[in-house]
Amino acid sequence: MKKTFEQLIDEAKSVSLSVAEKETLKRNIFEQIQSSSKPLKISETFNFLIFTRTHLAASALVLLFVLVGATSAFAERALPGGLLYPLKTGVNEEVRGWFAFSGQAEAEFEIDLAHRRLEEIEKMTDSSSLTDEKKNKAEEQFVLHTEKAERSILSGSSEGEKEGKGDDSASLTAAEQESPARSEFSLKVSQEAAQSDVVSKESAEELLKDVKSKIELLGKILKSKKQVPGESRIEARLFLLKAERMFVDGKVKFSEKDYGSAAVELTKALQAIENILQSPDLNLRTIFEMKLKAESDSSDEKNPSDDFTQIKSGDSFVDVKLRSDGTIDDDQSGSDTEASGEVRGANSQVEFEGDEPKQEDRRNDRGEDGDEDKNRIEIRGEVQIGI
Amino acid sequence: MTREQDMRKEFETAYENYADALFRHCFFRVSSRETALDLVQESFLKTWDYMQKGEKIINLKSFLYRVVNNSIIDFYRKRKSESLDALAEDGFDPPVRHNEDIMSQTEYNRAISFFEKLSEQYRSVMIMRFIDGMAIPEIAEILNETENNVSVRIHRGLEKIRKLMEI
Repeated sequence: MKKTFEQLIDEAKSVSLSVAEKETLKRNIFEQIQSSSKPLKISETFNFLIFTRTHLAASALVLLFVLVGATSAFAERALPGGLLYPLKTGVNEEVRGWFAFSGQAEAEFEIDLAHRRLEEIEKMTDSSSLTDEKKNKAEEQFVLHTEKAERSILSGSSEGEKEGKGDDSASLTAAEQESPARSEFSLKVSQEAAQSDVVSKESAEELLKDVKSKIELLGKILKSKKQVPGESRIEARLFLLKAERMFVDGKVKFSEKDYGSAAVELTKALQAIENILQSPDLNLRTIFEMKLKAESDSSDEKNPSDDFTQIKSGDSFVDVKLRSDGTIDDDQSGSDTEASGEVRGANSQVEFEGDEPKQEDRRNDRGEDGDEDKNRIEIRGEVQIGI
Repeated sequence: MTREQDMRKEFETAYENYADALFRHCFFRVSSRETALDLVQESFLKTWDYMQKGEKIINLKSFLYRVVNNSIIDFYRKRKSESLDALAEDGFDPPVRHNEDIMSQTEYNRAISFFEKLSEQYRSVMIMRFIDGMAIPEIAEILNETENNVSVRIHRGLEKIRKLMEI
């Protein structure tokens, strides 16, 4: 059978096209290909030049948008005297202003612009490209925007946009007055600073860093509407702007190696910051100092054997010790704690060695049995952990 | 060389290499020389259209066989009224031998008639396996079947041929 099957296959394989048949078939196929040949699709052999020629208007529009967008983006980095600076101030900033619909939004917009002018002075100082002319021009604009912001705040108040605006301004005015202890301190520094040979470059530099970090921190807090809601926030931003102005002046003096004058300006800036923090309506001191401490702690080296987290709340001090077996040994010292609050998610932020706390061993500061939620540690005082 | 020229060259080479085998395959599937020629022509044109669209073909041989297989299925569907058995009963259009082989016409016709007597599901795999010389994985890929199914059908096809040859 096998031999017969093999023969069968051999016979079958002998079936084939004749030479003539093969040529005829080939001719037919290629004739049909020629007659029905279509131009290749653009997607297959994309020719940019052909595409733009056939879609001239659209290509021109796209190119225009790209150029305008790129130019506008570059203009953002422009400084006074630069080629694109008029585009930055006359177009980019102008357009942003269109979207400020309320008095509050306008005030914030003007504050942002004033801040940008100060940033420009700072950048020019850093790059040693600051001239008197450029500085004066930027300062003029700074004053202009600051005044506009003040007018927007006032106009918003007269339209009844804000509630208790009168109270706010009264409180801020009060805050502007130096507290006796602070005024004595700043006076002392100012007097010392007046003698430039007393203030060294290193001291001035330290002061510069200190003021800069505080201004940045306070700026972040004030920008967050959650932290400080309401109109008080915008007014505080305006006051902070003034502190920033003093900081920039101090920086300019520093760059001119006039360390004494720099220290005077920087101290004024510190005072302005202090005034904002003292405002009872803003209630910023707690948050500010917590964040400041957190920032400085994050740069400190931690002792790996420490298994407790120190949480400071203003002048109060709460030690929460997390043992590796999960029990909590809290030690409250300090009497200025306020209403009870909670620290959430502490375990997710605190690193400790050992097992996770056992359910039955957890206790809160009131000595009650542990909560179902093992991530909650209750302590007195409103705190935020940023570890 | 442009892309079009590359494509044409590739297509021409494929024709030279596979036209014969494809014709043979079609012939044993449809038992008609004329129909086989038409099917081969149609399959090559379909393949060219596919290449023209810019689609990438990894294995041109497998692709051609797949197109041929589909074309044969379409051919059968058009002739739905006639059963495969009726086709077998009506006879076939034996090819005229063009080679120098000393095999007789009778033996030649006999070979063809055995394949014709198989049902389509066995015929296709038997032709691909023994006449086209394809491996089982290749057949499975073309027919979109599992290798196991293909093996079973080949086995059963052989059994059928054995029985036919014993008659």
